[in-house]
Amino acid sequence: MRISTQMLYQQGLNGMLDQQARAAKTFEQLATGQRVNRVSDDPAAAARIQELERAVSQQSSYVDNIGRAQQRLAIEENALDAAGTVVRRVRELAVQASTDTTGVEGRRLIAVELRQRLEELTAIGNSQSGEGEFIFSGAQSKTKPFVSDAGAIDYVGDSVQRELLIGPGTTIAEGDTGDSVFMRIRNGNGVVAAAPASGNTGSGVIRPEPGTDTSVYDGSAFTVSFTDPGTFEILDAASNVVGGGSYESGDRIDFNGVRLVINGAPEAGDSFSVAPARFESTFATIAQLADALEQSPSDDAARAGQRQAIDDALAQLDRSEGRLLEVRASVGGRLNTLEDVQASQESVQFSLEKLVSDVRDLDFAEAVSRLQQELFTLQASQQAFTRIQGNSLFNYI
Amino acid sequence: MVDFLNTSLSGLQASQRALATVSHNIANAATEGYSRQRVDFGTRPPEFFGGGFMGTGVQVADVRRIYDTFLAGEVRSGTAGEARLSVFSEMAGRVGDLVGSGGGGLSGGLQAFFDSLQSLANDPASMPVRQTVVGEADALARRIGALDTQLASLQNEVNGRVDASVATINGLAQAIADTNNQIASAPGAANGDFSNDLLDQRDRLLQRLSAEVEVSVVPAAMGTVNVFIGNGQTLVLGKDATALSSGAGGFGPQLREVSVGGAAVTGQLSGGTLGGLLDFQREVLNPVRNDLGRTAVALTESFNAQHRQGLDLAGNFGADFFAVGGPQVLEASGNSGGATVTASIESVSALTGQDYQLQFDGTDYSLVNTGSGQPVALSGTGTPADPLRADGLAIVIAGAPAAGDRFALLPTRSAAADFRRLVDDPAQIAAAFPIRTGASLANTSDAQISSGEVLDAADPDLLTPVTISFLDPNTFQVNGAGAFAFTAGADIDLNGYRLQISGSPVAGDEFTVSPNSGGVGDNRNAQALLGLREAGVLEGGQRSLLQQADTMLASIGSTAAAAQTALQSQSAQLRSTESALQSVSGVNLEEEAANLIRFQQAYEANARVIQVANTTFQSLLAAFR
Repeated sequence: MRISTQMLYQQGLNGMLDQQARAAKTFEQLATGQRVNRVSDDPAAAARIQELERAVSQQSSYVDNIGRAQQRLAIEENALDAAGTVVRRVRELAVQASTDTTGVEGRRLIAVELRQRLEELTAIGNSQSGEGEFIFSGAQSKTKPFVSDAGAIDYVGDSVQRELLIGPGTTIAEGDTGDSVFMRIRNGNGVVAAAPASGNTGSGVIRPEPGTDTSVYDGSAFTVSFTDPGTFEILDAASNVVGGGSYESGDRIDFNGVRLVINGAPEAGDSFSVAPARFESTFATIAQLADALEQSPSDDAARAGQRQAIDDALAQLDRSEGRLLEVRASVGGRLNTLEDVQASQESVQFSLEKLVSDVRDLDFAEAVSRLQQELFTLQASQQAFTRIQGNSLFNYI
Repeated sequence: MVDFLNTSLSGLQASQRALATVSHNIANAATEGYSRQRVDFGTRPPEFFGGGFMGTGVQVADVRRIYDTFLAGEVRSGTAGEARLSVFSEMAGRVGDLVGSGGGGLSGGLQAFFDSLQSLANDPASMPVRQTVVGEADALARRIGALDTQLASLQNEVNGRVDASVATINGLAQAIADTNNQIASAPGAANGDFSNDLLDQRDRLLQRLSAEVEVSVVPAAMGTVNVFIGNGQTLVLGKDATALSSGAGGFGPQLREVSVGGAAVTGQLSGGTLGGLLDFQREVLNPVRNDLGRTAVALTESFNAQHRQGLDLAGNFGADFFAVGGPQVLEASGNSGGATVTASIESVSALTGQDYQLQFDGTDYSLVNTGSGQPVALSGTGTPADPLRADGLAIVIAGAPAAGDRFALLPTRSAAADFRRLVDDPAQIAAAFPIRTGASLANTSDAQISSGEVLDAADPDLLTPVTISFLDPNTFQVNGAGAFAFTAGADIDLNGYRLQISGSPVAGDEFTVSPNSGGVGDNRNAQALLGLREAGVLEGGQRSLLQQADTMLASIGSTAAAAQTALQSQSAQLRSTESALQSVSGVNLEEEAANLIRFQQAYEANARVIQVANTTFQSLLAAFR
């Protein structure tokens, strides 16, 4: 093929320019450490990198959320632990108050401590997180959830639990609301509650036994009424007599699936009402116990009233503690879940980061040897260029 | 008698011409577009003498330009292709780098904004976190605005370069016409002898013209050529050139056109810098701006809708969080009717990112997708109550159009430019769910009420407190009125929300639904806002905002990459065609050096013959002396 001088020159030059451009690109890759520096370098990879980098950022926000949920649940766990300690101490005090060796003055002193414990428990209920949010008030996190209203502790929070996103489409509650922890605790045996009438003159104390047969019990209220100290009859809500029998202290009365035990000596005309259990707060339980212990009973009936209050409180405190343990178990369960999820999310994050690095980052060994090769080729073409350009027939004429 | 002095003189002259041509070749060895010339020798007419014909010497038959018309045409079209791809891939690469850059890209901006919402969902009551959301919303608005500004300045650059290219084309066309004239009017043209150097000059001009726009060159009489562009629009006809012009098109200055002789040819031009610029504008720049706008519209619409459902720190419903530019309607300058057309976006997920043209034929409206040229089905009549609907747009026509009136619709072209944050006060970010539900502490049963979902945030009674009280296990009242049958777990729809009560409620049980005032720690609406990250808000619900950002990048990227690859192969092809042409036409200095020696020797030989003739003549004279 015939070659024109200009073409020879241009070809040599183009070769050098191409090699220079290639070396410059490799040099840029080495300088940034990245294989893809611009979208136009490798568009498919650039779009993939963008997607992967976002997935990494998303994944790290899951991991952050997990950490945050752990932190908040740990704060709640501490509060529950402290509340448990208070409730156990209150129960000890109730047991102490129930013994006959504790006199009127002793009970009054116990009542003083109970009032302090009540305040302590209220303060625990009003615990705040590091961010200044009340941890037990639900959505109204800037509203103090437990407030004293005419001696009683009211819950003014709500039942909204905050959920955090810990994985794609997976959320976890980062706390519990005060009503479920402290307020919604059923009294009596959890199904029915029994109470003496206020005008009772005898020393009868009533206790619903555990194990109410809910398949039989229809949820209606009834009254056990004594016609004389050894006989009782059962009246329904409309005061119709629907049952009855003879009584001896400690006997179990079975009616309508409900098992009741009455101790002591009721008088004729004394009555005990039985109704479905209601919610009673731990605060109310403690306050009622303190109220009862502050009394100085002067007769059998008053003593029976105090005894009934202490018995009720003991049963109720067991359930309050039980509730605290349940919530703690659920918090513990959530913390375990978080730990598992954290491990898996972190490993996903790691593999995503590795993937990004594989697509985006430069293989230095390969790039350095490539650069060397490119520079070598460039040098070779430069030498070839000068040699060829130096040769001309004109040199000889 | 044959005069061999004359014969050798002809050889001397021919060698001289040849040497002159060799020196012309050597002198122009580096001249761009120069075609080497060769002297063709021929014998002079012989003379008859008794015994036969006697040669009378040599003559220069022709000074020929070594040239290949076919290869030259190939080089021209290769140049046009390369110039087009070069400008196209350069510009597309710049758009890709804009949209895809980690710091200023769309995806990064959206991600940062959603990350701030994640923090809000974690800490809805925190003012610093809320401030971050406001800040990130601003940053996102700035990012989208900056992207749009950069795209707009690319558009300005395209406009400027189109103008420059048009001016260059006009200059070259005039020069070609002038050269045509010179060639045709040179002596010898009538005999078909044209100046080699003028032909080279015209080829150079045609070559430069091809770098601006693809042309077809048709040879015509007297050595002239005619040059056509586009679909056969005349640029040069013999000695006359037609001027191209660029500027405001039929829809005003925003949609510019390149026209020749008053007719728009924008869509018909291909190749060259001009073709590349126009292709880039049509295939990359406009779609990217439309898609950026579409993303901004989708974010605005979906975010505002969700934000309006939530409550802010003060317990008020959220306001619109973002604002975005609406569709643009441009009226054709030749419209004779008095109609005003307005367009609005009715369904974001049905938007296409395309531009349209609306036309009235005297009775009916028709809509054409400007990108594909395909008609789009329209429904409705165009009244405010029943607008024309197509591809997510609602078009209302006021006044009376005349037959033939046209309107250009740019649904999302300028949306991104006007994208901004509206909510200033961090306390006004609506992170909380509007209502909260609860079971009364006085309830006998353990029946539970769900937290509810909002069906209609605009319901005027949404925030009216409601008490659901049970008359018996199967009947409930609402705010002390009515008697509704109860099924555990069944939907109860009230005041724009839906909730369920599960378990076995008994008579006297009460459940409340109250406005979530004071619910500063509630993150449910923040979670819902965060959920928009994954929500399919575009392309009929198939594509999320972030996927849209990815898709934009991938499509720009692949366009740029395809252009780059095509550019490489086109360049290689052009080089090889150029080599082929050079191989035919280019000057080789070795060859010229050899020719120099050859013709120098021929000259010397002829001179020698003259000397011999002289000696011979002297001998003859001496014989008579």
